[in-house]
Amino acid sequence: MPVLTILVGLPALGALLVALLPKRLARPAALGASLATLGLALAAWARFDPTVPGAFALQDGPWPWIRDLGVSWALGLDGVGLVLVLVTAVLVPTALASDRTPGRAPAALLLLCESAVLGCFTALDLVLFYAFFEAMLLPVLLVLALWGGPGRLRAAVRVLLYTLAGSLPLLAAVAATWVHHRSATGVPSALLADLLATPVPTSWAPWLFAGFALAFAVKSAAVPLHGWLPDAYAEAPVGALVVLAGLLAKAGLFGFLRWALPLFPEAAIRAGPVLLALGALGVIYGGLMAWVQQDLKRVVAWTSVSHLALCLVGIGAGTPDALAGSAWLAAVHGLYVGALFLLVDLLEARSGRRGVDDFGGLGAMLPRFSFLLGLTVLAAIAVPGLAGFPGEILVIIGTWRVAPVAAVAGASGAVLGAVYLLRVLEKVCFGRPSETARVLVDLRPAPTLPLAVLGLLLVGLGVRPLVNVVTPATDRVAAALETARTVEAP
Amino acid sequence: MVSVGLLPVLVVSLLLFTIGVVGVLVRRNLLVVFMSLELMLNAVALAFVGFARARADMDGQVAALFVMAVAAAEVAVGLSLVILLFRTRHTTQLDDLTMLKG
Amino acid sequence: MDVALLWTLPGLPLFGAIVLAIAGRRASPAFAASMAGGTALGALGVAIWTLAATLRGMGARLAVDLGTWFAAGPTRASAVLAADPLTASMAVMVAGVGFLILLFSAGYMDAPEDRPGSWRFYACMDLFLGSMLLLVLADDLLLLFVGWEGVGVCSWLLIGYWFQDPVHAAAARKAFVVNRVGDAALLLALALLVGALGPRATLRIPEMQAVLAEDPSLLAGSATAAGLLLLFAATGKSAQIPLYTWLPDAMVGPTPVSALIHAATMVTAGAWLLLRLHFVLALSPVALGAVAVVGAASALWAGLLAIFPHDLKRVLAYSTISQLGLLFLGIGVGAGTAAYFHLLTHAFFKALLFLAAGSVVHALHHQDVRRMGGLARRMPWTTAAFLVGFLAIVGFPGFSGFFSKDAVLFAALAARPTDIGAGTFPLPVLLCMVGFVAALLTALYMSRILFLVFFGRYRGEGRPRESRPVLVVPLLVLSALALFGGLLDLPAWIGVDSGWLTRAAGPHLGGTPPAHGGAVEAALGLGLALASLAVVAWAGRRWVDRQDSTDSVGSALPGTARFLAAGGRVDGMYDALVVRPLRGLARSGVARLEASGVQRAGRAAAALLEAAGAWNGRVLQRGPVQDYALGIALGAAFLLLLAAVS
Repeated sequence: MPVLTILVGLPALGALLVALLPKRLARPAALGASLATLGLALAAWARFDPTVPGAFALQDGPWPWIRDLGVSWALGLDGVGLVLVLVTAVLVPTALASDRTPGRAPAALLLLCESAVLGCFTALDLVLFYAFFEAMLLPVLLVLALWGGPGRLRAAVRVLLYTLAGSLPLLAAVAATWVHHRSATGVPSALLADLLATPVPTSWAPWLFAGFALAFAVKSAAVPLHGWLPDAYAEAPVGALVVLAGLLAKAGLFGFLRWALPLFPEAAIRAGPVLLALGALGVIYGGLMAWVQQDLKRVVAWTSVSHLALCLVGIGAGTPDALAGSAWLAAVHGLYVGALFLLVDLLEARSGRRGVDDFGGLGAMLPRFSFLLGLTVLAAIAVPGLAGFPGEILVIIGTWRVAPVAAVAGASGAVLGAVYLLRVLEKVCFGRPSETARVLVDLRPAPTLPLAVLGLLLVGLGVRPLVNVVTPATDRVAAALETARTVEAP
Repeated sequence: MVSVGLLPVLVVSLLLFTIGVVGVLVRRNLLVVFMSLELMLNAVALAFVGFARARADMDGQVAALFVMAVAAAEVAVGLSLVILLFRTRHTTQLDDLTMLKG
Repeated sequence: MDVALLWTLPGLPLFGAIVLAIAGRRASPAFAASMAGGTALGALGVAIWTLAATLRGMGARLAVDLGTWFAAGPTRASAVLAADPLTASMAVMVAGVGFLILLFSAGYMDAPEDRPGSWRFYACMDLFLGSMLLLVLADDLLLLFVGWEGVGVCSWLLIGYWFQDPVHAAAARKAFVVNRVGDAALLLALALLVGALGPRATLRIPEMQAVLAEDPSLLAGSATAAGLLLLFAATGKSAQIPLYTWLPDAMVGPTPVSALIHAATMVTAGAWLLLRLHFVLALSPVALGAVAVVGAASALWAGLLAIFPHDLKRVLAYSTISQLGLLFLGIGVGAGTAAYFHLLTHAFFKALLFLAAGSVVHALHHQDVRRMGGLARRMPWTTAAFLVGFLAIVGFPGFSGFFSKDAVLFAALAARPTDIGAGTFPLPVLLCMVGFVAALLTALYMSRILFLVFFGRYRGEGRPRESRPVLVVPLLVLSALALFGGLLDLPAWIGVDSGWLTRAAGPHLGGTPPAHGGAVEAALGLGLALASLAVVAWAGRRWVDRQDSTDSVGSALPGTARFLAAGGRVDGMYDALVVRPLRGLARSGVARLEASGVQRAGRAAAALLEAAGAWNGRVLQRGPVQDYALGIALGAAFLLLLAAVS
């Protein structure tokens, strides 16, 4: 049974339902579709057997799609894809449950986005991957542009411009890779397995890698290509925001792990120092910016930049532990950043404000909220026992061997994280309540459910990290890089 | 019957087509532009028929019939649009019809 | 009994914390206290059993391995706990002192406004105990790190227990952040170790020790770096120079917290790390020397700063830094057992001192020594307990502190300069002298407190009374421990069966076993005792029953006194050197760059798009339809041409 195809298609089907059903049933239908997707993702996990030889334990296809171009419909799941798919399946229902935008269109758009994201994480055909990679932005962009905050149009335009600037080189690189494969074998194909068998000539490789890397770097907001992120995150409504922050940014990092590094290992090795430097810069830059923000959403946005930069450091290092840590951190980051945005949105929904100094003393007035906020903050600063820790420590240890300075930057990021996130926690939850805070009422169980689920996941994944799910896939990438390294220096 | 070669037919077709194109590009009255459009279509139909005769292949004549049918439909739609346009704008001078600005 | 029982040591308190967290406000203070106390008692029982089990074969080792926690590449975190006499004795101390302090808390935290939140207090205390026990028993460095950060988080939660006060919240945050700097250093040290050990990389302590014993050259050039990073990490947790500034401010938290976390347990974690990883330090004399120097300097500096504060607990805080400094000194000169001995005795008498202070604070509702005095008459038991603690910390012969301090100082004297990377410079002698002076300062500042608080006239309001038994009983138990703790490791010159601790825990601590050197050690110890006695006598004359209620110290050197009274202005220095430049960098540097550079690039790109659109509107699509038709015609002609040509 083509589990993966159904998985990818189910949210889109849900979107169709949302468009057709009467208005009352639309939102519940959306939630239902996303929950069904979650169930299916869990079923896929149950079927996932990492001991199966070959890279992808679960596969659909390849079935021919555009015959003349050799483009197939091929979906597959490896460890990294699996954890990202699971995070997606968990985050979208929470986003839909917490979304306050009126009407049914946002829900439908978010479901379409989910389909595209799932497709992106499972595509085994390069053209298919490109299609999903581009497609996943459009629904979110629409939601941002139509239902966002006062600066939404400017933010949307900026997202579009940055993404385009990255996507055009990517398209060129994809085309070049396809052309090379066809001229090498005479048979057009865009399947990953086939492309891996025909490595591109060494004169092309750096350019093609750069084309891939540029798009992925823009998507994962690598400094200095991060300009689209702060405004977009600040203006987006919460449902789109959770999807944007929790999922789309990961696609860039995933792209490195699934496509750019395996296809061009020598170029990746040579580009390593650049990625390390940009990542290290991003960790510190993001941290410092997060420290001085006055808007709670922007603090979380810059936190995201800083943590994604740490993942980039891991990717630049290319050692097995650094890559595994990077993949794990990317997945878990979606959970805690999503939770943070949900919590901030709760405050904004009830009081209309989201300034760092607007609250205070919520620890006494809103104990359940404060507990969840504290838990999420601790997970974000990688306190051991919570989900963020294995990722951060694996990246730092793995990077030290290759680039001690970058590892030091990463560790400094941990210190900075404590500084700016605890500052926020202190201003919001400790001290005396402000005027705004006095009118707030604590969380009732129902709205808390998505947050409680996220909290439980953050604790559960901290106690029992599923890094062993990710390692077979990342070890493979690291091995490819290692082979290229030894070839480079005979 | 006088037997005509292919070349003269094509030359006439080309002439008609060119006159039609020039008419579309230069004339300022909307109805004259439509007539020029018809000229272009008929030129094409003529070329089809000429080729059909030269190659002894019925497909060209079938194509000419298609062209005539399509032209008729297009004229019907186009002229009703012209009438609507005239009713609102009270002019058929193309110089005055510039709503399709960028 | 099954070795798997070891997991209940961190597990029981952790379970208690979870139960209390779920129960929340529904738990009554009595239930919360019983839960916490009960789990602590249970942990204590298991700890004692474990110690007995490890002592049966002197130096036996019990280990329980739950497998790999997570692993990737050469980095592997294993969930394995191990107990040998060293770790077991430490666990007994942690659980025992923890239980006594929880008992004390039941009586101390009885204010009406604290009752609804008491579940939070006991849950955090239980969580802390669990983390600390995890830290002590962990056999894998990443598992140890879990406990390490765990105690940091609990410390933050407990210092900020009364979080409505912004001062408390700020103190809590300061503690966490300063600790975090040390934690980052520890992370880097672990990274360095994994990197250096190459294909044989392991983070399990016994395995790492075996690998390094086989092939010390693996760490080659980076041994010093590793040692220094570990030292830096330890200074954060154990409040030594340069990361000590959080401890004095942490005294705003409840007194039981100060007693447990900031006297007996968490602050010992740094020294504990260095003790456990002594084999890494041993590979670099420079690192050992640095440890010793940092310790001696901290002991001296904190001793000086302790003479001035009016806050009773603040004096004790500086005292903790000073005593831990002596501990670090002992580690640095290779006297691991002496240092561990002092760690245990210090835990007993410092917890005792803090709890006695807590008894006073509870009765008087403030911490200012200027409004105390003459409490000996009104609170006899508390006074007696404090007196025992005082004699122990000052090192009165016969009390536990005497033996342990003496052992450290003698070891410092006996060390060779090359062992601590000092070449021919007589660093050990200097260090011993500094330690001696620090010990005398201990006598000075403790006497000041003793006399100001308990003797002379009562300078406050109201009629303070002795505390309830629930507060006094733990004091008595700890007094006994402070009194008789010295028996753990009597030096050879005493004559009776000595060095029990050395024999039991020594093999696990490395370093040269302190050759308890007869006459010199005795002379050193008794000399120190006599000098301290003289200081105490002088202090008594100065501070008992002065006519003015102030305790102006250093009227001879007012400038220096003011400088030291202000904590040496170290906080201001850190603020100016680190915090403000960073924040300035963030605000003016990074934020400005972001706003002008990055944002302008974005705006420029958007403007470009707009210009393109405008050009389209202005030039390409002006309006007349025939222009469009011309375009179509030209385009079609071009395509036809292309088709014809190719």
